[in-house]
Amino acid sequence: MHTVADPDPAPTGGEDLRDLESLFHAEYARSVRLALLLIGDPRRAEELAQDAFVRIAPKLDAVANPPAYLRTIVVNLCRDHGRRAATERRQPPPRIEVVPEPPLPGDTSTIWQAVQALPAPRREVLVLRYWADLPTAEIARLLQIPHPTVRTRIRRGLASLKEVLSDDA
Amino acid sequence: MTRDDLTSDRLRTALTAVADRHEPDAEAWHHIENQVSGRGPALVAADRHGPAAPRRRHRLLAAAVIAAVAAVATVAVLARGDHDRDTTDVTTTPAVATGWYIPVGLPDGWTVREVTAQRMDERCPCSETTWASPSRDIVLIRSTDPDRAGQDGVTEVPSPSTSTFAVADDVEGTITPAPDAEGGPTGWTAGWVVDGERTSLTAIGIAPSQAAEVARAVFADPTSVPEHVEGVAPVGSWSETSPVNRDADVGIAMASPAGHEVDITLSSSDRWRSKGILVPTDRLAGQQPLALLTLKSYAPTPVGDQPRVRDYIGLWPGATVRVLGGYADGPATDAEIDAVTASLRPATLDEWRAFVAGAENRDRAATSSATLQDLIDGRAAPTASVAARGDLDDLDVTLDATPRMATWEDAGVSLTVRNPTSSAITDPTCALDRAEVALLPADDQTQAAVDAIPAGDPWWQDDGPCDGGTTMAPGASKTIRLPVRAQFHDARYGPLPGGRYGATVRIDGVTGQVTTPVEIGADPACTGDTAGYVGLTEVDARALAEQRGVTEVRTPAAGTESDVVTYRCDRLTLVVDDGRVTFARFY
Repeated sequence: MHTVADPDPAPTGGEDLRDLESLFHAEYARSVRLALLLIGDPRRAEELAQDAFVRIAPKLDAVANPPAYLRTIVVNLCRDHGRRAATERRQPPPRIEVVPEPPLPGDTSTIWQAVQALPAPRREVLVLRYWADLPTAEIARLLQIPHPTVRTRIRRGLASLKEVLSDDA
Repeated sequence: MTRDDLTSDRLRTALTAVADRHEPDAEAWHHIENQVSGRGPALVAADRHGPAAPRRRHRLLAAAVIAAVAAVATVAVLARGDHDRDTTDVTTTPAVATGWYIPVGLPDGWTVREVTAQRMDERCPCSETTWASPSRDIVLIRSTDPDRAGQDGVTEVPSPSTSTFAVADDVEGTITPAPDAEGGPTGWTAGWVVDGERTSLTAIGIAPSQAAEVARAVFADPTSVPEHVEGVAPVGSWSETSPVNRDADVGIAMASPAGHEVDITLSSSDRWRSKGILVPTDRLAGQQPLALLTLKSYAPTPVGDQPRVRDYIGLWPGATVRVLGGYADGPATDAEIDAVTASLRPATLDEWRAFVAGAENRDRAATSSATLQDLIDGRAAPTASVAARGDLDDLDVTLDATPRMATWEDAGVSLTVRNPTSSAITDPTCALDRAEVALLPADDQTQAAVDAIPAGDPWWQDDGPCDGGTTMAPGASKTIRLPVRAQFHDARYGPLPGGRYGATVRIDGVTGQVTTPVEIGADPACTGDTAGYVGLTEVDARALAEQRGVTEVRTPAAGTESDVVTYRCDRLTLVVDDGRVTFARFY
């Protein structure tokens, strides 16, 4: 948060690619992995993560906490994925090559399948809580839902998983 | 290690393994650079929720008005269902407004995904004043409520675009602009805290460059707004002088045949306080007999890369009803939103309960009160809630509960904890948030009624995750809602018998317990013959039930939600343990 005598919140363009590239090297891997956990599709996760960087580019000068802002964009894009209008792309979509991922060990695979089967609202809060390690207050702010709702969704999500994990154990 | 810890640890490990095995696209930077350097128009920021406004009611209004896409912030993204249920045909109109409204006559393929109910009590005293231009292109809303600083260990994370400014000589404020929305209205929110009271300004159609000037003028003299913002006049005001403004939010998530979500929200009649900024719409004339309003910014044209979401608001008898399209599985279409809105009709309590019973997921609190207003009020007396004070070790503890409640209903128990000492007090294990609460019989008659039912442990506990605990600064306080309902903890045993109880709280690591008297209204219990079931195997019990003409027999597993929402008294719930019936009740 920056302090000015009279604020001028209009974005300044912010297309200094060095800053963006710096952010990319620091945050891209984490962004695409967050997207992957939220939507389960590696190729789409790459697209969304790249889209997030394109979106933050013109705002970078005005953003005080780029990693947090980037995370907000990624989460929002993931919530909307599948419905993006073709008109939003200014160029043909990039050809993204996804490296085949190694198979998961049995226990992990079971848990991951169970997570993917959760309703999106519960999956979101579990990923943000147990992979991104965000406090519930931050999750509530990020998802724009009440704090108690975050806790309820976490509890219900864990309860759903518990059955799978109990059987698995 | 508790079972819950085991679950979360394994979950954490699994998520990390899944994430780490993915190698990011080696060409990602190249793709990003190409797109950014393509010199296309600036993309709309994906922060679609509008200016950072911490309180839910401000987000409802500010986000919705400033950026149409921010309406998603008000949408409850709800559980996915995989089977169809018919909506209920309603042929009656309640003589007294219940506040319940349900879709009637939607085509096949529509389903009810979820019905939720939660209390939205807000701390007050609080107020809201609105000014607007005749066209409603310019709107300014000033609201006040107690500042939350020092509570609960929760700190608000400011939006990345928030900046500070001097409101007055010794008062610092913040300003957050609305995100750029191509073709959309401009706007911002400003706020400041003085003497424990927080003031927020939400502006639409006023340039951000004017924000500081307008904010300073409002700070100096709120009545001077028309002098500083051309063309506006006061259009409404609202205030609540008591410490708590009770409210509740009942959400209905409808899914269209195409899988798109349309959400209906039922809340208190005065929820939409800034009524002056709403405009009538006749879009559904001839289809929806009740008057509909909308926010002027909701024109059905795209905003940047996201479509505007149509919404409707009904200030109807007994409730403020809002219908909003969601974005799950694609944005809801205008036709879908219109269809749901046009179909809404007032419902009796029985019709409401039958509708909720058809939902794939539902909060029982949504059907435990006769009217929406009863749910909001908790059927409490209008005076201050019953409280008991107790000094537990170093903390001051006040327990509040609804004095009188119906069966199944949320008991409205809250624990207010204050640190009266001059030192910080830490709670690393979230003992306060995980306080146990129970409704314990307070007289012999009630005790006997409860003892007749082998329902086990009466203690409830919120066992949600602990985010590293809480630290309470000297003088800080926090209020914790405790989850307990007027039912047996194991819902299979049904509601608690009517009678006098003590809402009782015990906290791990502190001595003593705090209790306050409450009363549960008598339950309209069924008088069906339950003799002879206990001790039978499930198979034999079902056979006996069939002989006796019981229309349905349920044997829910422990810990599952009960389907009981309507008493017909020809259906039987059996509790089966180790293959034998241990309890039976009609519903």
